[in-house]
Amino acid sequence: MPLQEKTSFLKDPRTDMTIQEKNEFLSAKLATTPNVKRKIVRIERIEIGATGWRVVYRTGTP
Amino acid sequence: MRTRLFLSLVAITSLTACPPSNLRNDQLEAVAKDWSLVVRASQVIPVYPLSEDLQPGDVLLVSTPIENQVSIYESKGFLPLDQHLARIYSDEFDEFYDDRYGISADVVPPSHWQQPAGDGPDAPHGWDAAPRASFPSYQFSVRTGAGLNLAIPIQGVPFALGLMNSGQASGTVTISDAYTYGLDNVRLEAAVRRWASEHRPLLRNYAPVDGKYHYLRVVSRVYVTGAVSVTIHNDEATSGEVGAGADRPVELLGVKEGATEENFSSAIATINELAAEQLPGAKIKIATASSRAVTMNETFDRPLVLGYVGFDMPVLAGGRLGAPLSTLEQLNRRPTIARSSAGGTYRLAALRHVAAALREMRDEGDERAGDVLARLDGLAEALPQAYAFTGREFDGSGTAIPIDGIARDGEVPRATWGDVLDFQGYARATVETLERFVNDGGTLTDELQADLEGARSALQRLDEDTSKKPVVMEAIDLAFFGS
Repeated sequence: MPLQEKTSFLKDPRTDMTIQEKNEFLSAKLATTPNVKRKIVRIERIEIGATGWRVVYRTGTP
Repeated sequence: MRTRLFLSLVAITSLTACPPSNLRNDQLEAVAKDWSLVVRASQVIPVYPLSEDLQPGDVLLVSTPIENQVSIYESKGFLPLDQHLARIYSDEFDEFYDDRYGISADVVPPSHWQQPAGDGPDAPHGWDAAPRASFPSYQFSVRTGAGLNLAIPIQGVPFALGLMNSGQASGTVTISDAYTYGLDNVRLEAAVRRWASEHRPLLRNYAPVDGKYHYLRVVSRVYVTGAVSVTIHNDEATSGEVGAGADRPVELLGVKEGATEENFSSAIATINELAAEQLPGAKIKIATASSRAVTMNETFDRPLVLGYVGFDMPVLAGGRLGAPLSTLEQLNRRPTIARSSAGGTYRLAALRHVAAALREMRDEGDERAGDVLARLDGLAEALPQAYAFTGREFDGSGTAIPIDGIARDGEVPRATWGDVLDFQGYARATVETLERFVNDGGTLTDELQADLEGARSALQRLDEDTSKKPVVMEAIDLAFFGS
């Protein structure tokens, strides 16, 4: 299976979250499936439009 | 003398006579609603008509969607008790009440209060021993044209209006001799779940359809009343008689000049005799009566339930039950905080860290950690053989897409505790994604709706079968506290 880069988006569960809550939410999500089984290469914070974390991960083998 | 008595009776009877049928229906509905509003003011769900036969542990089936129930509750004032599904006799009342109020291990209330000395109609009741309750007084007003069957289920009110020869009155109603008893939600919920597991085939018929749920409404506490006191003021007298310094007595025969006390006692006795003739079966006692006001007490043979509080449990797919919600809060349109599911993201993450900690402890030679991990792995047998949903998540552009490898009917790994946490994670991600999709204005296709319901049911089932097991608490204690 060829190497492929994919993204998933973890939408903030609330609009009034503090920075600490946003970080805790990300930590919890990274510790549970499906993210815990992924090879994550980058995480971006999105604040325009829908707010949340964009997780970039890789599948397959080189 | 006979003529005057006859005229009195005619006057009273004419005031209590039935209006035309359509008007009467409106009046009867108004009676139910207004009485219910009186009870609802005390944060109690009204029972109408009053009944002796409702008690904690009664399970009602609610087939009306909650939004429709709210509109019925607001328009009629009460909810009919039409589908009485079961009565659960809990044997834990003595623990809850710590053997007070005459409750012991072999007594399930209210039987020992209702009929302590036999079951004859005149047998005295023993409700005096029950926990007391108190309701505030309520004001009301009534006009002949708007219905003489005043908004309270008390037979003597039209009679009182007849005595005052009034078509317009206001007054105060006091619910007296009130008692309450109940059982805590923890014990009741467990009892209902035991009952539900034995009647799964029945409940399976009430699985959700098109995202709409049936509910089991569980009565957890009831309020009963043994008597109602009513004071009625003649508004026509107060507005029409200018400068009236003294009350005009109710006109009755046998009144003697100058013998005030004797006249009053005689008049009240006569009125009570009249009431007994006019309202056979009613236990009404007139305390005072004049052209301006009548005060009377109505007692019931045995106290009757006038309201209850309870909780609702949704019936899920397969006849399983969801988390309880407050009935009153739902009916009052006050959103309840959904009870945290044991499969919540944070809890799942914590449990995964617990499992990792136990593995480290086991690898360092902690035998107990190894034993706990082995027993946790045993919980994987509770996992289904196949996924009942296709996993869903948002991609980087915010579109709901399938999760790779998690497809409906695909095989579920069932070997370790990690498999349980993985399964819960996929199900939770699916539920969160699709619920968020709907909240953002999206419409679920049939396939996505099926995925949402499948994931919800799976989470609920797994929560019951695994997360409440003692070994999970043991694992948490061992990982965090070492004991």
